[in-house]
Amino acid sequence: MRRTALVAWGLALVGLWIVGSAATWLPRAWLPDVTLLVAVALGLRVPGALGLATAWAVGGTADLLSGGPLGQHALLDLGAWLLTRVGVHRVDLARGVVLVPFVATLSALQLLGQWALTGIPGLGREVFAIAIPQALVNAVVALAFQRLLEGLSGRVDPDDPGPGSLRIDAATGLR
Amino acid sequence: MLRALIERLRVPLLLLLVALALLAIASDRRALARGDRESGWWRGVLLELAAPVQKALTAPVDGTRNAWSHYVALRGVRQENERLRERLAQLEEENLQFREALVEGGRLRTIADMRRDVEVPMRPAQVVGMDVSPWFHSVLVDRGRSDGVHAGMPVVTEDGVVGVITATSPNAARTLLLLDAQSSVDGIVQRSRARGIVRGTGGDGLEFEFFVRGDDVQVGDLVITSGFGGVHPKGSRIGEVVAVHADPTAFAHRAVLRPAVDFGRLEQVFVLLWRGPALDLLYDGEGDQTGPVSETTAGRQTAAPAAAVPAKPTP
Repeated sequence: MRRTALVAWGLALVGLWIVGSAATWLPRAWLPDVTLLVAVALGLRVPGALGLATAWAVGGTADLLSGGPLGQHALLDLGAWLLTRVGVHRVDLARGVVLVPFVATLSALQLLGQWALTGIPGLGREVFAIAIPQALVNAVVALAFQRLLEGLSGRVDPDDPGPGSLRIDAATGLR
Repeated sequence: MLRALIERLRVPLLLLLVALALLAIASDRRALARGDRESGWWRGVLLELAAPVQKALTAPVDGTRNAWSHYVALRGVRQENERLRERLAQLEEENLQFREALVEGGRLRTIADMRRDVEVPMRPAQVVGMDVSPWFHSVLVDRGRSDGVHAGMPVVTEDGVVGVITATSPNAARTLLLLDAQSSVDGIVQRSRARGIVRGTGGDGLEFEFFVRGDDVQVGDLVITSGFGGVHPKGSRIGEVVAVHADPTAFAHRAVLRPAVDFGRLEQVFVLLWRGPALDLLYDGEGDQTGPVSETTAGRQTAAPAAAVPAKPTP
């Protein structure tokens, strides 16, 4: 599980680098919110304190690479991880038909969260012109991202049970 | 055993992480409010890692984009063009300063004063990445502390003001663009000398808030830096007024500016190796990372007065 968490963080870092570079020639609205996708993938695969800390670290990495105030991505990605954990207990989020609208909704909630925390962006037409396409891109890419993390963690972490599987741990009971 | 302990600490951990994040947001905003733009070494570590990777990632696309003009159609002309653009930037800055001197004092400054004033070196830098969040406007450039670039230094192009350096590592720096909602710069209308604050809107435009009669600011007016903000030298172009919202009952009026710089096409920028007096006071004596530019880092002495500091590229 620790290796999966590490892979997720690495995936977020590489994803942020790619997005930062791609933004020089592609419109921002077409680029996914990598840390949100990683937070969701973590929520699906890494429960407990480790998932919590990793989601925070993923957001913190985005904070360090962004011009925005420190801490806001960390907080928002922590929220995304928590909501995903809540979702996992209620619906089968590993299914694409559930995951896609869930990620689109999370994207909208993150926009509101960002606005509440920093006042940026002001909720106007210009913002929605970016936010709506980006929410759609996030939703479309989410499943592929989830599969990518699944594939990578399957290689490095043979103990990873995968999403939706039943896990019994002597120390913590049924999860 | 350890895992069980960690799992038991889940709720305290959650509270701790939330508290840490809120504390970071609050302290970052407080630092920004008092003008302290230098961030910690931990930010520098990630910048240092990001710059070469992002440069490598953008290189193939930039290379492909430029292939036709570079190798086929404009072979040899591109280098000449870059040299001429640099020269043009220098001449336009100097020209603006001469016009400033005429408008402001009604007489030319002495040649000796001018020679002293224009000796502010620039460091050309390449934009290698944009902000990872669409809601903030910053760029990553491939010059850092080893090139004499420090937080608080203004960044310009031949068209005008780009922003200010906010974080540095040995070989990279982050520039907060003028468009960002956290950015503000003291500006004056070149024609009427109306003074106010130019703020980023977080979108593609700028907002100019001024405190004089509305008719002192008209559509088409050029707004330049006043030099009073302590960050940007006087006389750099900020933008052109495209709309004025002057409410006769209000104390402050607003105008919408079109930025002088095309932020959508930022490729090469110039870091002015100069830090305004306010920022120099703020950062002075805080070690190499935050100390003022010296001869050893910048290649020459860069002490300059607050006013009339046009840019001149380094050889």
